[in-house]
Amino acid sequence: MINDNSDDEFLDTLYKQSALEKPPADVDKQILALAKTNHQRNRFAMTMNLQRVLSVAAVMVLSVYIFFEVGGDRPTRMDEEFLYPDKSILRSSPSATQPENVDMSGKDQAIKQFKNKEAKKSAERAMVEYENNAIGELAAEAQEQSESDMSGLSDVVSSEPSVELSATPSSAPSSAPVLMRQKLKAERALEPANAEAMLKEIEQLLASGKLEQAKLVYGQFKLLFPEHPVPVFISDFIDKHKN
Amino acid sequence: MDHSTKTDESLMLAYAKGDIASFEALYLRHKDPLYRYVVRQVSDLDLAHDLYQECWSRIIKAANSYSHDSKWTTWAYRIAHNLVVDHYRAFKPVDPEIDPESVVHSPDRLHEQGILLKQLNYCMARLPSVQLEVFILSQETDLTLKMISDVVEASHEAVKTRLRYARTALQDCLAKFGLGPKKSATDSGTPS
Repeated sequence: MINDNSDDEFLDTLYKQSALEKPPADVDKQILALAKTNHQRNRFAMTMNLQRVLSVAAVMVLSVYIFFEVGGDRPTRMDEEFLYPDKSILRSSPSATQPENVDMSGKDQAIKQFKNKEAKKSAERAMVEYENNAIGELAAEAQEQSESDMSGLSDVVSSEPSVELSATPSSAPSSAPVLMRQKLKAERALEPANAEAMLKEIEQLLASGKLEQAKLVYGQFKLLFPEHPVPVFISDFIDKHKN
Repeated sequence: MDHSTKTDESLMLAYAKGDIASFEALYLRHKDPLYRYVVRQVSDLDLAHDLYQECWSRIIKAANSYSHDSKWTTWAYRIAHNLVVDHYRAFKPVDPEIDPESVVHSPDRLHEQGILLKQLNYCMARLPSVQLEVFILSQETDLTLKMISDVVEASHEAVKTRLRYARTALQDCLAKFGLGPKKSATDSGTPS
């Protein structure tokens, strides 16, 4: 051994006597301040990390919820056409000043035409059904009336329009021409019997001196049966007393 | 709360949990030895201060990742060792040449103690850096040779050899000034 214990003790003692250096006070302050700042930063970082984790978790939960919620209520094929229209519509989206100029695609036009056709067909079907019912009812009534007293026929015929018009639904103003057509058809079916009955009624009225009533019935007769032959004496008498 | 009885490791863990007072106690306990460890290896005082602050800064930032596996002193001095190696050893400055005769025969003989310390500093400055580091660690800390070997990242035997050579070189150097309890000029060896 090169050095003995006394040498080591002397060296250690000498070193301890020489070990007097200390860090400056300002360095101490800076380090302690750094320790405090770092601690606060760590707390802030921990808080932020917690918030970040929570927000990511919330977003994931919401995403999963929305995914399943939307996935469970898938739109039908027809709905998809309205929800996700063709790109051509998106490309030619109308400006705010020209809302009318929508460039509709072929699909949309076809859908619109299809709907219009369906609506027309259903309306026509309803009209045909209504006509058939009305004709059947009028024919049945005419037969009954022709078999019954002939004098009552004129009343039936004169009261038919009001009955039919009152039976017409007020919510269908476009059905007035249709009703007229129905009425004429029904009258044509009853034409021979009704015309004769009206002529007889006119004769009776003239015979009984009820000129005004005879004129009224004659006017109705001419309206209903413009081509039906009228006895000469009736037409002459009515023409003479027109004024 | 009395922090004097707590170990370094518990103080560091307490600081990691937010106890600033624990860090202050730890700092007061180790600031001087760590400062001397840096300053005595780095001749430039400004650079030494920077390295010292950087060392504590790294300790503070690494507080959350500190584990109880290693002794706090070993961990902290390894940080300081790495800093000194990175910033100083690559550019080892030339120590100012001191004439031993001028130190011994200076007119400041009245301050014998001061001269003695100057002579010791002179001799320490002559030591190779690896020997100086091991010597300072053995003087400033209570680390065992095994722990010092962990700090300086050398084998246990290498540390033991460095320390022995350092002591021998210092005693020989001091003997040139006529210092030492007893010194035989014949049995003194020069470290390689």
